[in-house]
Amino acid sequence: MAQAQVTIRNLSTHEELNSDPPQLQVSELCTLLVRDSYGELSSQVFSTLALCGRLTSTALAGCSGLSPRQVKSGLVVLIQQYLALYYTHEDRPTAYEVDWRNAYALVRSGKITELVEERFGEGAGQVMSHLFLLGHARIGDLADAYRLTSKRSGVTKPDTIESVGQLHHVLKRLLDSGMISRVRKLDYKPEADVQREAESSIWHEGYKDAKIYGPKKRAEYKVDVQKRLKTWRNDAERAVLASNGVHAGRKRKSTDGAGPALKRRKIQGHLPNDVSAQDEEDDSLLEESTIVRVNQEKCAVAFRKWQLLNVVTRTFPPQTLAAYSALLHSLEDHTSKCRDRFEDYADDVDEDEHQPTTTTLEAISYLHPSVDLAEGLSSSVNSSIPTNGRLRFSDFESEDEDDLTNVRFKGRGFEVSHKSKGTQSNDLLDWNKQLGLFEQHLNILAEHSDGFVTKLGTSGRGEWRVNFRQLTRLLVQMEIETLVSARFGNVHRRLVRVLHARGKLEEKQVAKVAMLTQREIRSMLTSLHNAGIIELQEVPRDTVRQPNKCIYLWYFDQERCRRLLLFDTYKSMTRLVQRIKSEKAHAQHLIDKAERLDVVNHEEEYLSVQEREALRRWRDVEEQLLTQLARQDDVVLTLRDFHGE
Amino acid sequence: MPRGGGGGFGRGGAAAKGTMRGMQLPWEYDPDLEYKPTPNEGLFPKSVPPIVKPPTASEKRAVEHYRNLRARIHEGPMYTTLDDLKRDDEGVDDAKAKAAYNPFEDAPTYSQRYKRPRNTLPKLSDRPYVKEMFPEELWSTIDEEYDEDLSSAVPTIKKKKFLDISEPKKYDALRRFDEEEAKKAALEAGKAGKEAGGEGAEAPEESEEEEEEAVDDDFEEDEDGAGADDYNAEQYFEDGDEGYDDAGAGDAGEDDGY
Repeated sequence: MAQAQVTIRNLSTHEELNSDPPQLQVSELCTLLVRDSYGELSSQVFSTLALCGRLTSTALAGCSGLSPRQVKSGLVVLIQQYLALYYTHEDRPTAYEVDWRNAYALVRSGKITELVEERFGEGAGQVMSHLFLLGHARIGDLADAYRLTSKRSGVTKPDTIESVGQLHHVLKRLLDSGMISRVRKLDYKPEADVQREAESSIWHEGYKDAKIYGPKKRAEYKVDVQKRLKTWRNDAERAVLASNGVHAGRKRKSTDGAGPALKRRKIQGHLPNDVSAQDEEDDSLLEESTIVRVNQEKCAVAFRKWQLLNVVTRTFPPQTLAAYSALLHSLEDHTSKCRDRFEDYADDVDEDEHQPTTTTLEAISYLHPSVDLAEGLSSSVNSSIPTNGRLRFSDFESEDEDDLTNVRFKGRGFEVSHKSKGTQSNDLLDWNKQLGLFEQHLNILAEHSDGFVTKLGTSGRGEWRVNFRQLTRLLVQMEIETLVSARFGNVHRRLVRVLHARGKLEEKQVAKVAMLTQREIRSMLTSLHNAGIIELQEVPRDTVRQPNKCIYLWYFDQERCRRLLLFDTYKSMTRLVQRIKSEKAHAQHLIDKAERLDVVNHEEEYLSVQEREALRRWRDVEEQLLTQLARQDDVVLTLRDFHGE
Repeated sequence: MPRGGGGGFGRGGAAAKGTMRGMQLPWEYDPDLEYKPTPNEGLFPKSVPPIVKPPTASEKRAVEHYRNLRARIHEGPMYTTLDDLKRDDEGVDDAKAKAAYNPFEDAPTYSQRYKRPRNTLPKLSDRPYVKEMFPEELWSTIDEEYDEDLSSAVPTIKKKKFLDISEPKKYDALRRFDEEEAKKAALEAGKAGKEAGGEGAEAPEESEEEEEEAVDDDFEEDEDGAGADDYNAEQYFEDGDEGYDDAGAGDAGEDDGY
């Protein structure tokens, strides 16, 4: 251990390393996830790196007790799957670090694959799962692998990839949407080193290696460093997120189907990868040497859309939901991540004003063709409009058959296909009516007190913006309140809402607003205080600070509560993974038997009915636990990713 | 928690108290004593635990994708299981290997050849890598033919490696035990039954037969050296002559005989 610490000190040339170390709860969760997927060797290397920090491979061998060969193989696996980062500085040995965000993202692989499959089809879902399996892959290698499988099977199924052209088409659609991105070598550089390089370059250029005195100069220096980091980041994104590395103006196939993406083709970044490009085969095919991987940040944006729809569906009819979904989809093209770390805003309102906007014309192109917008509005509006087309939202269910105001959105299956305007109907009048109805639905959303959309102007038949910052806070608040009401009760939840709405209050005032007596709420406030949800502030009335003469104010800090909940969620996910492991251990002997090479396709011969029943039960239990894990991940999405941490 | 008063050792009470079946006890024993907890003292009040909502269709699909992916990774070259005794891979000489031998687990068994082979080291040579993404010190690990001295020389023609993206269907046998798979299988069996003439009653019939067989197996006396007649003393000595021809049965016989 001492040896490792000496190495760490040698590596840091500045006083503090501004790296992104994992907290204890999340590192435990990540180690378990890595072990579950990749086995014991990789998870040992990962856990040693997570606990000891940055290490070279020799120090790693010493700390973990593995042989150098094992350590190197483990590191190769981790680097290939983006679970570890590395940095080589001049002649020094390479130092390795964990990337715990990607390790945590192992939980999301199933959800992302399902999202992509629903949006883009089964072939795209397959490609996505291959990319999860392989970490990153060169397009040429991927194409070779596919040709290999189609040679073997010889079975043609619809929606699967059978030709190189189809594969490239699917990949291009995924690249356009941002779900996958290109890979560069710089992806493997840890954040701390990028920061350090920015600092040293600013120091050499701007300050001529002189010392930086005084708070003003220091603030200037910090601002310059942030600017430099932001420029680097923007350049990187431009190189990575453009779909086609070829020159602009190449002819595209008419069956592209990526209508709205064509509008967005403003950036033609054709900065090549660090790899030498091979010859292209066809005009509209991607370069064979491009390396692609899954883009987690864009997936978080897609999940944010889904969570907002979940909230909206509680109060609005399905047609409004469809309109909102189309609007959010068109906004998604303009956002590459949930929140930008490098942008400095004065406050929430300022940040919301800088959010991307979209127009009605753009948004309506994402609307599902079979949605009848007239139905969700009052009869005075749609009396003259013929209703054609039935609702296709089979994912909806309502608890009470007659009560249509309580329709619940059951799943994520809500994606619309791209269509260009004009194919809906040839009648211009009808099209105008559609636009008008669309606008009305969005107006309904805008008038809601929570402010799901904001109307900005009338260009393009209505310009709209969604205040994501404010809505994120709303989502977080809803999550916290759900937790409080589940853990304590409805009255506690009311108290939390009172404090959130009113700020810092004395017990007397809380009782007055909540319409309860002080005695009733005293125990509730203390139990909430014990759980860490609300806090107490002492305001002394005189200099002596006697407890009888202090004013005690209760308040609710959403930010602190959010962080607390986030760690609790990590812990509960860890327990879930451990529970899955222990349930598996109960059935381990049966699993071993079922996985035997002679039993594999002959279960009926070798396994009795009771054994098969037991295995079925175990699969069922595992499915339930994994579903819970996925739901906890939804909570983490709300509490962490939408916030931009 | 005795409620019936204090009392010490000095109280030699009547035969009913202080004695249990006639034996003197140092504490007061009152057979009529009952412990009735008041509602305030009930430490574990009855509460109904909250039940989560069952998984929706899209959640089920997501879980299926996750399990598929996990199965494929487990089948791929990257999955490893560490053996505690075999930590140090390099330079394991014969003496160490002999010392690390575990007679219970390392002796070769018949079913060992059917066990799923697991790696202790990930097999890294099976797939093409993008070498530029890795640090230089790992290049020799991912590409065994890479030699640092010859890095500037003309690259030799290497065998083309393919990425392995095959479906895990042939290995992920446990998927068969999912409910839906079972339903599909039942449907298929029903269809097959219809073709044969029965109306899907063959599937439950088959399972009934299997159950009967499973039940009957316990009570069947078979003569062929299965587990049953090791402990069947009457038959044991009857078939003693045949025991010498079959070495396996003979060994089993020797084990039983002291």
